[in-house]
Amino acid sequence: MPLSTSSSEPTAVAEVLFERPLPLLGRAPWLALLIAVLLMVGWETWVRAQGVTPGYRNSDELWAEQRRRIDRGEGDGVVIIGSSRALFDIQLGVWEQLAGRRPIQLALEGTSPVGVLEDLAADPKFTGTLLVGVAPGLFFSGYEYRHDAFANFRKETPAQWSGQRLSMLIEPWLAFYDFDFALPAVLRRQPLHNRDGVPFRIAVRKLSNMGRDRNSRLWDKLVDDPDYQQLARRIWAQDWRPLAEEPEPKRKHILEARGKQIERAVAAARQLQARGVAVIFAQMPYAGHYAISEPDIAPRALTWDPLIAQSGAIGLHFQDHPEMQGYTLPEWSHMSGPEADRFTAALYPLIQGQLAARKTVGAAR
Amino acid sequence: MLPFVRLAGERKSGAICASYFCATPYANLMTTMLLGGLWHGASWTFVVWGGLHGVYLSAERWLSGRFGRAALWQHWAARWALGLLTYALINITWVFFRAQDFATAWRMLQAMLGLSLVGQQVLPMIDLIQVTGVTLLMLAAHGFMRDRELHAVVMALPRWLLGVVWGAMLWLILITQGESHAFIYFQF
Repeated sequence: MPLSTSSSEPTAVAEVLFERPLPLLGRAPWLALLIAVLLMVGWETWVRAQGVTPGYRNSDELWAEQRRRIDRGEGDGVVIIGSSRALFDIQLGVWEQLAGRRPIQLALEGTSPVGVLEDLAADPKFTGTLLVGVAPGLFFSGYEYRHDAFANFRKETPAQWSGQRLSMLIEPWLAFYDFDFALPAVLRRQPLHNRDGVPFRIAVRKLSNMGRDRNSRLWDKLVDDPDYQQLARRIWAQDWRPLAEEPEPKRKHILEARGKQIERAVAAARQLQARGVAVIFAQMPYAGHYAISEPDIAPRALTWDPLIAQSGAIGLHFQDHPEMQGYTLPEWSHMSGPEADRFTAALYPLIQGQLAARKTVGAAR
Repeated sequence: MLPFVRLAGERKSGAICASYFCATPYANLMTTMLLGGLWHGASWTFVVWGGLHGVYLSAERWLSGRFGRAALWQHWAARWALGLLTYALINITWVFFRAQDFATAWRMLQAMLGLSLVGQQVLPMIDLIQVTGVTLLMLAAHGFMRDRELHAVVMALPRWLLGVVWGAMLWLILITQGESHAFIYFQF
């Protein structure tokens, strides 16, 4: 078929006689499809054999979808922010049974919620009640593993939006479609001998199953499989050393971050309360390694206590309330599904009591 | 759109020729590649990336014009050696493309060339295996395809083999899934 290299300059037109016959592929495409389907069935079976069940991916887009519920008129309800403890330990179904309305779950694992707190403080559409989970090591250090989720949710492109719609059609059906079973993640955890002195962190493994509205429950394997439980504990404790033994730049950074985080959180909480939003800070239980590391990196007297005193918000620390104690934490940081049900059922009336007490005090004044 | 339009041509007097600084094909090549570098970002490291490409292309043009007809270059060993030399030289350009500044680029180049003896080993075995494996496969594929066209190779393969290869490739794409969100807790 003759082709010209340029249509804008007739004198430079080069007639190129070139023919490329379409390859006769026969049944190759169908065979390829069959092979791919067979391999996928094998991979899916292998993943499910490890106890994985299909669920929704904990993506930035799924978070954005929940965040937009506030823009769409649900800003007068309860919103939960925080880190993974707030995500796993509070069960939306139990809360809904008690309150008659399901909260919006915006907690982000591995992430200080102060950025989200500020975002909500600046959003006049949010007028409800805010429950802020405080994992000390994250909250007061300002570490934000999922920063992009709340930093970019207003910049979501139509392609990202429609990609999320398509993805959600298949997510509840395929177990392999999980971040922890992506090929690079699987390859990376193969037992290979590393050269001496090469640092190698074990990546955090699958911990939970997520629902359509981000309600999350700890994966049963963490309760049922002692080896997996030990692996999770080892991952939490890897590379840890007391703050006093950290290199000076890192120690200085963490100490400076404490003050900044408290300052930011106090300002945002005051802004929210000024327009009638009830703010509750809550520290969920932790144990084992975290019983040592959390107070070390963020001593209560220097972090939690000033936060509550300066913000004027309600503070619920598990050490202060028997209702928040006595739960089993398989990997020291999060509750199993049934334990989270029990915890939520205890936390809800505790919060309501605190809110009622505040109203009584406010009315008396 | 990349600025590869009409400049780096075969003409001896280019359209951007101005008086004594005549835009020879070499000047055209340099201009095109420098602009190509700047197109990627307003940083001198991108300019170096483009400039190196321009220098390489100009050198290749000059050398092949003078020595390219020698029978030696048709020998398979010479062709492989030239291919590997091109690969090594291009690897140097990508250091400047990726590095945030020249200090980082220089550190990286020192490590690449074995001049840095105090650096810490950071790559775990799995990364070494993956990068080496993928690199060797790509080099082999480029070498194999150097004088062939893809459709001719496809046509020459048995249909069943084509189906198996495509099926396996599709499967690998599907299980790779994209970026990971498995979170790293407690890393500051």
